[in-house]
Amino acid sequence: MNKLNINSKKDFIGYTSSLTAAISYGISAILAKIIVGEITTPLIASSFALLFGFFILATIFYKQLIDIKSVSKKTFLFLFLAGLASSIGVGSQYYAMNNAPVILVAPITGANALFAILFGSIFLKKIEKITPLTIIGAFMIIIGIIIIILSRA
Amino acid sequence: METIITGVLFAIIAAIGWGASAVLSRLALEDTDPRLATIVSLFFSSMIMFSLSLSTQFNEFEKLAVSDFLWFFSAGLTSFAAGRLLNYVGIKNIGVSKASPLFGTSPLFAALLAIIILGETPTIMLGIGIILVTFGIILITKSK
Repeated sequence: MNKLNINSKKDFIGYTSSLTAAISYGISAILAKIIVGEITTPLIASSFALLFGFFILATIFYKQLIDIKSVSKKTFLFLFLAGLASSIGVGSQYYAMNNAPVILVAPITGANALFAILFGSIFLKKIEKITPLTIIGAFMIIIGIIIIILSRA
Repeated sequence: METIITGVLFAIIAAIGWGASAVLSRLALEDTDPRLATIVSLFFSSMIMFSLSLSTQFNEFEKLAVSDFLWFFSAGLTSFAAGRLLNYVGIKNIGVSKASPLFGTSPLFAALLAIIILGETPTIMLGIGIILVTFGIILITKSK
C-alpha cells in the first residue's frame, strides 16, 4: 500500500511536470514567433535563450552545483551527448524549415516522441517498461499535434 | 525537388536528435538530480549552439540591440530554465516513453495561447487535434 502511494506520488509529479513543461514550451513558442519575426535568427535566439536558461538555473540552484564533483564522467558524457543531440535537433529543424514546406516538416519533427520510444525500447530495456497503451497514447498525441500544427500552417 | 528532399532529411535528423536527446537524458538522470542535470546540459547546449551560430551567422550578432536581450531572457526562462527542468523531472519520474509524448503536446498550448494572446482564429481542425491529444494523454496516464 505504501509502495503504491509512493508510485502514485511519483507518477503525479512526473505527469504534472511533463505537462507543465509543455505549457512552458508553448509560451516560449509564442515568444519565439515574435523574436524570430522581429529581432534575429532562430539560431542566435536559441543560443542566447540557452545561455540565459543556464544562468537562471545556476543562480537559483547554486547549492546543487556543490554536488557537481559527485557527477560521474559517464553522466557528464550522457548530458553532453543529450545537449549535442538536442542542438542537432534545433539546427536541423531550422534548415528543414528553410528548405521544405511546413506541411512536410511539421509531421516529421512532431513525431520525435516516437523516436524517443523506439530508442527507449532499445537502450532502456532494463530501466523502463513500454506498454501498448503508452504507444497508442503517443500515436494519438502525435497525430493530434500534427493536425494542430498543420491547421495553423 | 532536391531542396525539398534536403529539407525532409533535416526534419528526420531533427526528430532523431530530439528522440536521442530524451533517451540520453534518461540515462544521465539515473544517478543525478534533475536540477543539476539541467544546469550541466544547458551549459553544454549553449556552448554548442554559440559555436554554431558564431561560425555561421557572425554578422547577425552586430545587429542586436540591448532591449533584445529581455526577449532572450524571457525565452530562456520559459523554454529552458522552466521547460527543460520540468521535462527532466518528468523523465526521471515517469520515464521517456510517457514523458516525451506529454512534453510533445506543447504545440497544443502554443495554439491555445496564440488564440488568446495573438488573436488567431480557432478552427475545426484545431478542435479535432485537441480531442486526439486529450485522449492520448488519458491513455498514457492510464497505462501501468
